[in-house]
Amino acid sequence: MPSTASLPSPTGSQSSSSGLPSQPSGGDQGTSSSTSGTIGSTSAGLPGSQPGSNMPGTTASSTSGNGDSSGSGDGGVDVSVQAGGLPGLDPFPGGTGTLPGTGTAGLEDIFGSGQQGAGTGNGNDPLADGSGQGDDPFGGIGSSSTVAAGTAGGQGGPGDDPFGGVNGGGSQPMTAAERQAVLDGRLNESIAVFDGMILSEREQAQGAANENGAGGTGGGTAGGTGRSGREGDGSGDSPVVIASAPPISSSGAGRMPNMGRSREGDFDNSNQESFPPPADIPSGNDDDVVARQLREAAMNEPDPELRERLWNEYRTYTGLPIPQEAVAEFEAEGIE
Amino acid sequence: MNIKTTLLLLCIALLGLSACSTQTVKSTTITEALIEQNNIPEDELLDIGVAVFNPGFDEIDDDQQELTFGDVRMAETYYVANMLSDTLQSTGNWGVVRVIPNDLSSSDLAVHGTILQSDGETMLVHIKVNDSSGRVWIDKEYQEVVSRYSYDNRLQGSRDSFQGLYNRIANDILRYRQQNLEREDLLNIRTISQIQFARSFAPQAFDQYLSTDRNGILQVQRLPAQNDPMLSRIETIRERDYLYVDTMQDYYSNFVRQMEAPYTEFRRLSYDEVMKLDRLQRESRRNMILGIAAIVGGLASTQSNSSLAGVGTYAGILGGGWLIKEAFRAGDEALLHVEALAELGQSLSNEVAPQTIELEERSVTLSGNVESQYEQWREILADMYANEIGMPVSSEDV
Repeated sequence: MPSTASLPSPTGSQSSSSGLPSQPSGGDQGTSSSTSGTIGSTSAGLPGSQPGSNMPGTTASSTSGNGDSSGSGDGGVDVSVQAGGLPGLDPFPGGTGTLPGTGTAGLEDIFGSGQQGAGTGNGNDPLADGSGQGDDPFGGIGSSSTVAAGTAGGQGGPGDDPFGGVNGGGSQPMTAAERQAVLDGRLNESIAVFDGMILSEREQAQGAANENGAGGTGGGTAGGTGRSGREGDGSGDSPVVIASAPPISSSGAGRMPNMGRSREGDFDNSNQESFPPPADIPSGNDDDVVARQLREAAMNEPDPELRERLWNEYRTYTGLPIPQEAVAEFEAEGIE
Repeated sequence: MNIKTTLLLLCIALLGLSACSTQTVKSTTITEALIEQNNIPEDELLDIGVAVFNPGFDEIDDDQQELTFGDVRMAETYYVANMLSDTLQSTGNWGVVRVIPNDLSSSDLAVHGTILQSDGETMLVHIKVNDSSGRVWIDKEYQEVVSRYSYDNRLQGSRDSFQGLYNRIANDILRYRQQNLEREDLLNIRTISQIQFARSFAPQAFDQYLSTDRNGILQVQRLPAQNDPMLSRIETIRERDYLYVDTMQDYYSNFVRQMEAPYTEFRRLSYDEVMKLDRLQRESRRNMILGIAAIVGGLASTQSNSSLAGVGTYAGILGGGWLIKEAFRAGDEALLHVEALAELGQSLSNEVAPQTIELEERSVTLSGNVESQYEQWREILADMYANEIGMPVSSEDV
């Protein structure tokens, strides 16, 4: 497992920076007023939490620009970007409810950009009401979820803390749906870390295979080339034939895994509907893993508002200009 | 003792000698793998996990100790498992067939093997196959004795010398499925595999779906909902597990590819040495028995006063002595071949040991990382489930 650094200890329940090291002091003033917005931003920023959503795992990815409850953050792609799975996969299709609110928040804003191992939370729950520390199972969310955050290279700037005001404003405790969404976010981030690890291992393996001249026959031919015939072995109703099975090349010769291995007969939860990208979005042939995940999340998002937010996240990550109407919308929501 | 008795003793000795000397009948015919002619529906294709074979160090006979090399045997555990996996996959009778490093992954069918003997001439393995419900399909030993022609590239092509062994195992697995399982059984196995995997990650949520009967066989009690969000998450995790297994498969395949050439050469050379060793050991044993019998017969002849008995005495003693000398000579020569085999084994060990160590290190590292990640996911899923049902979340974060 990738090692994770420790998160700075949350300083207080009311502090907007509890578990959120990116919080500037100036953000504290805005926390209470932006509490609901931040919660909302969290909810809206966790597309995975939408019921029946088939987001490939990007969470809070639409929060760019809206995560700046305290002002100065430039939002941007954050942990949520890395929370997604590999292309073609649906790491978290099942959502557990919609969080209220319209703002968005990056998970990095929620959980901070520091790293800490899972389960090493210090008892302070940035999402709780600031009381009852130690008895909130989400106290360590900021710490445990930042494995991906730390490695993701999120672009959340200082001050991106849509949840900054949660504690400070004496916010209501999270609902079960909200907690579930947060947990989903943690899971997705962790899955993203795993994906990165596996991908690097596969690259190593394929590199080693290329060095050794992969693509040989492997010697595992079953029927033997050139031999054919019928064998009556009393196999009953299913007569079998001996066929010249083609030589099997040893696996590992640059073969990508079967990403969609679920077959007929497996439980099928995929129910995705694809939406075309906006006109200003390029083909994406040169997208990296993160951009590809954002793209797929946006193309599969049925909610038009969330879809647009995801595309804005994609634009921000890839350096494309954000449409003016989107900027105006962010400003109208009172989030700098 | 008269001449008749002496002759009787000699006959008995010859009979015993003939019993001791074995004649191995080798056939160049290789068992072909059976391929299901009828198209198998996709939902009936069972995935197979072939575990890395057990090296069988505990089962090595004393007379095999000197011919068994630890590093070579360890390399063979990956090699043989990979060969069997490739064979099963190539038949097309099954779903995805992979060599699995451990029990982290749950497959529809699990194949466990132990190498009991492996030299250039003979391979003896014990194979156990069971499905995810716990039913044992196969639990038997397979032996293959090859001839020198198995190492003739013109006849064998690119096929492994012991391909017939792998084919027979694959055929038996296929026959068991054909003769004992209906479509419902196959679907049930796949369902159990899915639920078992889910249960391994979220036992609180999925324990209720499976039960164990008094025979230790898993039974499906009920099925989760198709839109169960927890199941969706599990399926996501299972895709990652597939990736992990595929990654390990890449490592194994690379390893096999690297060791295949020197290992095949080792087996070919060791086959010649084993043949010579066997011949010399038989010769030594035969000469020893004959020599002892001749001496005994000669000594027995001294009881008789006839001149012919006297001749028989001298012939028996001298002949017996010569035969015993030949027996020791053959034994000494056999030791030379044992040393040659040891040298071959050491040479191969030196070549594959670093690769084996590297593979094991990678396997342990990756498996450790994966298991650690799985533990984290189990914790998250446990929290999710507790949250869903409104129970207090028992998390380390509390």
